[in-house]
Amino acid sequence: MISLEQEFLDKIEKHKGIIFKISKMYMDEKDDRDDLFQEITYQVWKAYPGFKGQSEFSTWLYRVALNTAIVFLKSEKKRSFIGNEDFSNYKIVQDEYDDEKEEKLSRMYNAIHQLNPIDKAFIFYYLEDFSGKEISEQMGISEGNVRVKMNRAKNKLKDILSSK
Amino acid sequence: MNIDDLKNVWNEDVLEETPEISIEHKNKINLPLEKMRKNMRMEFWSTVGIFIFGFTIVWLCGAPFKFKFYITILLASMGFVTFFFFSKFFKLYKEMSNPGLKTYDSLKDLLHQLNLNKQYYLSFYLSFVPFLVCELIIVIEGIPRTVPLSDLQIAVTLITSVVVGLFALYLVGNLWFKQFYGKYITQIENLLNELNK
Repeated sequence: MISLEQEFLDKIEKHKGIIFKISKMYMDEKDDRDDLFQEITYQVWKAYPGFKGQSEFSTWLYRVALNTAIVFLKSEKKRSFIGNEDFSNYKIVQDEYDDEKEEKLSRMYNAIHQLNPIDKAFIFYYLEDFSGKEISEQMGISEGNVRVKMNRAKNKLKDILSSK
Repeated sequence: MNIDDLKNVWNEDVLEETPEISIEHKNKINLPLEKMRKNMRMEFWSTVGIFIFGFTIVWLCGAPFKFKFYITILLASMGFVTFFFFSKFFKLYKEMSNPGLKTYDSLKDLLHQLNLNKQYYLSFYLSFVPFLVCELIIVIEGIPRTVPLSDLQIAVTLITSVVVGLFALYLVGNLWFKQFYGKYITQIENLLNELNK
């Protein structure tokens, strides 16, 4: 008989990519991104016994992940100055820019980082092709309100992208 | 790049390397609730320290036994009240937060719980007022003086001390709450306003 923990790990394994993409949307620093990834996994595990299967697991998972990311606080530790910086990070960043695809990704995430946590959630649902009705159910607001907020978030993102 | 290209870029972001999945909490404190819980734990242990210090001072000073005994009983009662409130705080923090709800409901629920906690906290502070008054009375009455205080002196001392004490309690309590708890409540309020706007 499969344990609850194993069942959970099997399910979450299939979706870890999307959890990390949410972490990338919300956190610009690698350490914070990894922390958020772990926090989401932990919160999903904690909430898992309450998952009744009334919706797809992925839909429920996105909701828990975004609810966690929205209130997640950046680490307060002071970023070290150049003297203590790990130079290997610069190499990675440089490599990322070698590729056109990576540059586009970098531009996209940089633009998203400038949005507030609620707008980021709307942009996530837009990118994942959720309908207005589905977003309304996930966010707990009316479909009309979703339309207004989605347009606002997209316009903000458009402005950021065009200003670069 | 325009907004319509974003979906393609997003779908192209296929991650091969992600951090390892762990369902154990790493004791990182990145959620408002955990920050508040940590602050509350720190506050609890500071309060325990203050009580130990108080008991020690009372029994080391050369005051009469009756005075020491009254103050000890009073401190013990304060300790009991403190224990009661902190047990409520910790229970509340344990039950708080439900990220499985719809985003709006989840934020609303969190804010409601935090505000409930705020009311507990206010009650906790106010519960010290009678103790403050009792301590003053014991100090005034319990310490022998060569020249007894007149009724007017007693009234002025008591009223002034209570007014100053209450004012200080209000100021310190307010600042303390804002610094350690209030800013997280404001963050949640701002997020809810953003959804309501």
